[in-house]
Amino acid sequence: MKKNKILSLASICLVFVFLFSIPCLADTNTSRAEAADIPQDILASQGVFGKNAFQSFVDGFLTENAGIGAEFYILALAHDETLDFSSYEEALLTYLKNNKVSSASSRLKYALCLSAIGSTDSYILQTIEDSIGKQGLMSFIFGLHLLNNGYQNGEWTASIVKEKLLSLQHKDGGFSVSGEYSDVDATAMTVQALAPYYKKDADVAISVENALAFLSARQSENGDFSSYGVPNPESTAQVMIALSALGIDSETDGRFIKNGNTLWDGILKYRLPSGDFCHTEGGDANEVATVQVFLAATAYLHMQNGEDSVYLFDRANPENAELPQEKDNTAEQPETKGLNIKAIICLAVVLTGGIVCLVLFICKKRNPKNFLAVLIVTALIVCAVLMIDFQSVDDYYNGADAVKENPIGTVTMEIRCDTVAGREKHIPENGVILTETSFVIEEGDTVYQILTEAAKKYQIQIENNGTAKMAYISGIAYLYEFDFGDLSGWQYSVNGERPSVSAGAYVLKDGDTVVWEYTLDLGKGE
Amino acid sequence: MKSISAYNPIVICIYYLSAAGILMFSQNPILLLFGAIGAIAHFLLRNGQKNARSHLYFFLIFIVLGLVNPLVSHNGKTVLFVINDAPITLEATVYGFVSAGILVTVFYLFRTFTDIMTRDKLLYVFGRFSPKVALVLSMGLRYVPLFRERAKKITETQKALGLYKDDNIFDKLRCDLRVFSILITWALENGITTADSMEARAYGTGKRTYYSRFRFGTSDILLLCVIILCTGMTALGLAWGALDFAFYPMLTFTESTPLGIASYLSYGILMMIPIFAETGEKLKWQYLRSKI
Repeated sequence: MKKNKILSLASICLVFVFLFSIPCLADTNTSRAEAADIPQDILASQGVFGKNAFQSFVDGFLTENAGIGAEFYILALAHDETLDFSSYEEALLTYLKNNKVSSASSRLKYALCLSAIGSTDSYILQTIEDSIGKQGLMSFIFGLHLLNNGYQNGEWTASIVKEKLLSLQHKDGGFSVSGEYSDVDATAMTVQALAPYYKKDADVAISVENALAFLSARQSENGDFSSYGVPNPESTAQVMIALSALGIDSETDGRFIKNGNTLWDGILKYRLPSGDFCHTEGGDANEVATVQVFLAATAYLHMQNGEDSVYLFDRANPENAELPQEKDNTAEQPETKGLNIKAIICLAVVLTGGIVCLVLFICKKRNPKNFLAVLIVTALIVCAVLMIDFQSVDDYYNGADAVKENPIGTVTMEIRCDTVAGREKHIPENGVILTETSFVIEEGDTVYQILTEAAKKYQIQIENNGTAKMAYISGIAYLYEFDFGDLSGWQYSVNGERPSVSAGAYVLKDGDTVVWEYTLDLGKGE
Repeated sequence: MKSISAYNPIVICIYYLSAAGILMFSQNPILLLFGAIGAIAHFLLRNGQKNARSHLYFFLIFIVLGLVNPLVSHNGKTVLFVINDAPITLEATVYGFVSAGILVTVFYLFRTFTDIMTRDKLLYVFGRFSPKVALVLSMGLRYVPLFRERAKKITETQKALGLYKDDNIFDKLRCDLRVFSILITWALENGITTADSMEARAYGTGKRTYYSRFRFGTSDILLLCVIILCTGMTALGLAWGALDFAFYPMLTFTESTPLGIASYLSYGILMMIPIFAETGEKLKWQYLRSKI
């Protein structure tokens, strides 16, 4: 098994050494003209190697890593119509069957891979129906890629998702996964999804131009981009894919040439002598960096040949896609799982009781009342276990919305800790734990209920020292009361006012704005 | 080297204060490991195979206290599973077991401490500062073995009276409850008698003097120096944060520095002192016997 892994790793390394060595052997500071040749050299080296090398790469490494890292290779290689992906398809479907993918964006990414290789499995339409919009920006981006390829199911259509994406743009033209600070990767990926409408839709054209202005401003003197303050090739590769999808040649567009350095200059800085790429300059080879540059090179080649965005797939087969089965059995699954754990624990308790009885018997304490006592204790523990509700981590933090039968409106909630932002490693630097997010409420929903919902959906840790009705929130996101002095702790406000009741007793109405804040002085300072 | 109980009571007191003090103020799993090994090994060396019941109780306390913390505190990034909408985390569990371990280790330390510090030794140490404290301490520490003995007496008397012949859990519980009630009555009555008796002997009317046969010899000074050196080193490491261990939000050790390693080592040495002393004594005894 291990040997196989090493062999397959060695084989990708080999592929990449040959892919990138020919154009890049001479020197790292490849001039612009040479950089433009890279994708063509990739094609050339494909010819040199013959198709077998790629086919064995698909059947070997990618099939073995289906679901755990092969996906972006598949998106890039799916455009090669000579390749056969059946072994990978089978492996990915097996992976998806055996693993419950908790993240909506990851589910959409897998669905996109399936559509890229021409699969007709029901997973694609199923995912479109239940995952778009379930995890913020990224789930809209991957969802739009799928819809762009012609798939359609459920309430979401391409134009709705497109409008939704446009509404998420920040004032500076950028986008972000969460918070109000625009991020290069998120912006570039949004542009990739919007690219097919760039020339048809005036709104999209304006939005994309703003996003490009934002990206142009963020490019460094070396031609590369930074994500969260760290210059890296992945962000640069994402910008390259975005520009190529729009049909812009980054080598000639003045907005993306800084100090004479283009995007390719920015990317090639990170190339290692072995041919793969590192995440930070001087670092070790990084698989994510390598695969994203690979996809960027493919996208650039598409642009040069005047082809469509790299996210539009020829193999995509929306007409024949299977409709998902009614998902009765999927809903029942978690319950049976919880039952299994309970059954195991109960069995263990009963067995222990039996062993104690046996010991009593052997020790000649054979009075029937002894056995009666053991029986009572065992029964009590079993009752307690049956009353407890066990859930696995994936089931609890499944990223899904709570089911509301009779919604009466929406409220927004925000969790901030500006007072102590960045004071410790685990506290976010911008002070935002949950950006302003809207939640659907039912009659009688309290602030505490919405907080628990947010905690489940966005995986925020919360600590309640009271009951559901008399909630007392002592900690959110590992930040606790008294962590910063005797007067520090969490406070909530609704529409700017601080109610003097527990968060578990305050009933929300439509349009309320809830803000949780960390105070250092019992809230007197604000 | 002689057995630790043969040293001057002041040295013994300082030793146990520093061993338990560092443990209680540190919350560090490695210090706890050294402390637990030292304290339990010393207890076993002194008492041998006896006290199986104490070990069982201490173990139960350790398990129960360790498991209660994750049910009450939900801090920590590594969620193991979720019970009734409350995430159970690895960090809270580890914190629970480390705290429980510290408590049980301190129990073991004090078991040997009360064993070694007989009443005359306690009076010798505390009689100088305050005779009242010394008396209260000595009387208080006396109560545990005294009550155990009395409980045994009461049970035997009850049995002799012909009650509780049935050998089952319910009857045993009922018996224990009755014995307990008799014990409390006896203790309250006894307290009044003791007070009366002391007053009759004019306790607290004037200055008291003590006779003590303890000397502060060279070996005491030597041991005291070693104890102070080890404690000082560990305290220095604690004060400089070299022994810091963060439980939340993720279990993280401070990177090991020379100071940190020196502190760990010196606490390890501190906890091994009684074991060396005890084994040294035993070897010497065996050697002398072999010459007869």
